[in-house]
Amino acid sequence: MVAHDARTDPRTREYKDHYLVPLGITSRIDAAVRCRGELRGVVCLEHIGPARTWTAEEELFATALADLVSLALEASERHGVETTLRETERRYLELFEHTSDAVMILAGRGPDMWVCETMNPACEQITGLTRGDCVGRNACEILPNGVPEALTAAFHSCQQGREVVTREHPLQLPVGQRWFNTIFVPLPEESGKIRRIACMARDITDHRTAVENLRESEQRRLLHIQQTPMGTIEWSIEGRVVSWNASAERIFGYSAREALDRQMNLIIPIEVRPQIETIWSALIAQRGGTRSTNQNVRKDGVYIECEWYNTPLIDDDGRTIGVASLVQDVTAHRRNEEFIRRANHNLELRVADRTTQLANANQELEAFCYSVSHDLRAPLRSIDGFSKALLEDCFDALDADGRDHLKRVRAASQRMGELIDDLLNLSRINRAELKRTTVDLSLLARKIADSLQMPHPDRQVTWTIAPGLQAEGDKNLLRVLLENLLGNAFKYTGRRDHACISFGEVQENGRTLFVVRDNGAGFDMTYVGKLFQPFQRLHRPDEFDGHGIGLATAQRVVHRHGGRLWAEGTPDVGASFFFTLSEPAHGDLNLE
Amino acid sequence: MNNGPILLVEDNPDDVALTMRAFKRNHILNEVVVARDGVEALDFLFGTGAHHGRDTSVLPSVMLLDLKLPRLDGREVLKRLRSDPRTRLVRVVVLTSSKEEQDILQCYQLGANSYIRKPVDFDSFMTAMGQLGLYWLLLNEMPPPHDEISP
Repeated sequence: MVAHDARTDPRTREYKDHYLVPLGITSRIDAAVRCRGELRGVVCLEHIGPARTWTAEEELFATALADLVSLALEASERHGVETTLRETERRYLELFEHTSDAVMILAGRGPDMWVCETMNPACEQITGLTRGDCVGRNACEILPNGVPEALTAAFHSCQQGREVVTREHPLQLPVGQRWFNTIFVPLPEESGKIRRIACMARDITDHRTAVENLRESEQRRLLHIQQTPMGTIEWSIEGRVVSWNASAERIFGYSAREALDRQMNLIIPIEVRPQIETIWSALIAQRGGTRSTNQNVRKDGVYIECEWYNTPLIDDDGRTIGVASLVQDVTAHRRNEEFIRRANHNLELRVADRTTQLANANQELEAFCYSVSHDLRAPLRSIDGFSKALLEDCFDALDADGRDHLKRVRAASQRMGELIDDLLNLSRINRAELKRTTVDLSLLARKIADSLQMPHPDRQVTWTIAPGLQAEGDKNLLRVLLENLLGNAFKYTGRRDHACISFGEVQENGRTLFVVRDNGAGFDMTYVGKLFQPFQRLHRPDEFDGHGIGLATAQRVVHRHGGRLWAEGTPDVGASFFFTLSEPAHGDLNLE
Repeated sequence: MNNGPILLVEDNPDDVALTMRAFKRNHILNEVVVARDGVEALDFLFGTGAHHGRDTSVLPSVMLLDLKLPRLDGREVLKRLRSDPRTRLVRVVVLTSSKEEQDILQCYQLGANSYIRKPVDFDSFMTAMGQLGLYWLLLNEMPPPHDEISP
């Protein structure tokens, strides 16, 4: 702007009074200093003295001076921008190199031709591909299975829409399939065209697996809770129902819809509320209350007995935020227990009663036996003794018949003495305490055979005793058993010119039977039932003497061991006596 | 031969008669003192009751003791006998009908010297009495008088 007379020029005259006149300025030239098209300042030439007219050279000079200032200003500013730019670039590179996300810059070189320009170390680490594998190659060739379609679509969408696109997707990599959350960022050029896209991928495989597992376990848990026969209830910290499963519905009669958000008093009778409050406070304070048995009330008003297992639910800060409970209706169980307890108690009373009765009976039997042993024999001794005295003292006064009578009296009293002894022996078998040890039956049988044979050296008997026969039992009682069985065999083979007596074992249905066989008089199987009854005989005394007590005694011994004794016989051929000393627990008990 | 009396403790008069007969038949001529229960037996031994004033230094050469007796039974007599220094060494043959194991065991534990079961058969009884006399009166050496071995 050129003002020849500045004091009158309309563009400058407003400065006349304050600025031009006090300083004596009459003419001036103003040239604009601009930077990037913006007015930044002015170069001013001012003249003091009479007003004058500026020459064209002077005007040109002022403009040139202003342009020079503008140029200098512009150069200085450009330098500042470049520094900032370098700074920014350096920061981005830092981020690029050190971020844990995989970053790859792809440059479009034609339709579906995206070439990897660069990638960061995290990308190498995550994908297992090196820069050498990737840089300069088309993305479709880099990945073993190419780029999935969904990814290509995201790519196009980013390119066309010029917007950031995010996708969660799997990728088949040399290290196997991994899942990624990838952000596609368009990198527009100055023209606005999108030729580059930055792909930033975060490996979320572990996260996804964890989430998947969590979901599965949650589903399983829910399934369990729904299926469990135990009522499963969750309470809020205020004691309101948060969840209520099918079993809880069944136990208490309230549907989940009815129960949800209701206070726990819904199922607690008034009488037990103080008790429950104590438990609840303990639970909330995490001081126990985890197990309780108490009365509850159902929707229909019926009282039931329930067993509760409670767990306080605790948040990360250790605060109780609610309670989870498992509950079981034990009413029937308790009733049964009570029933069984009472039944047991009654049974015990009855057993005790019977035991006392039995003890009394045993005591009476004991006393009876003692009395028999002592008192019954005394008169017999007198009968025998005085008969003998009579025979001795009055021998001459008695005729042959009289002497014979007295002899019969003596024989009868002696026989009665023996009968009493046999009876006592029989009862002693029952009363004796059973002491089980391993008994060598073969040895026992051999000794008995010898003692039977000894007084009868003239008798021809072939004894066949199997070696190594053993049994668990009371040695004294087993001796009585074998004495009776072998003694019987010896007695009933008395009329054989050559007697054969054997003792051995036979296997039957996987168990061992002991057997005593003889070739003696035998017996008729019709009367086998009488064989083991006391004082029952199958032979007359003039055939074979005896009291009919031996086999009854033998059978008692076997029974006391929990075994069985039975016989097979044929008249004039012989007899076999079988016995076991224990029977299978669930054996046929009707065999006896 | 020990000439001291035989003390027969027996409540059954038949048995007393038969025993005396057996002694006679076996030529045992010792005096036989009969006590009909345990109390009488102790009275004789300690010079009390009916036997007050008896010279108790004369001890029976052998004592035949039945177990089942009125008032004081045989076991009790045996117990008292063995716990008194004056009678500790008196030889006692338990002569009884019982052959219950527990009786036999108990008698030996209480200090009986012998245990004989009375057989019904008088012939056996005779034999037993004969053997008893032979052993206890003839063969067996008496212990010296008790004051010589007092502790």
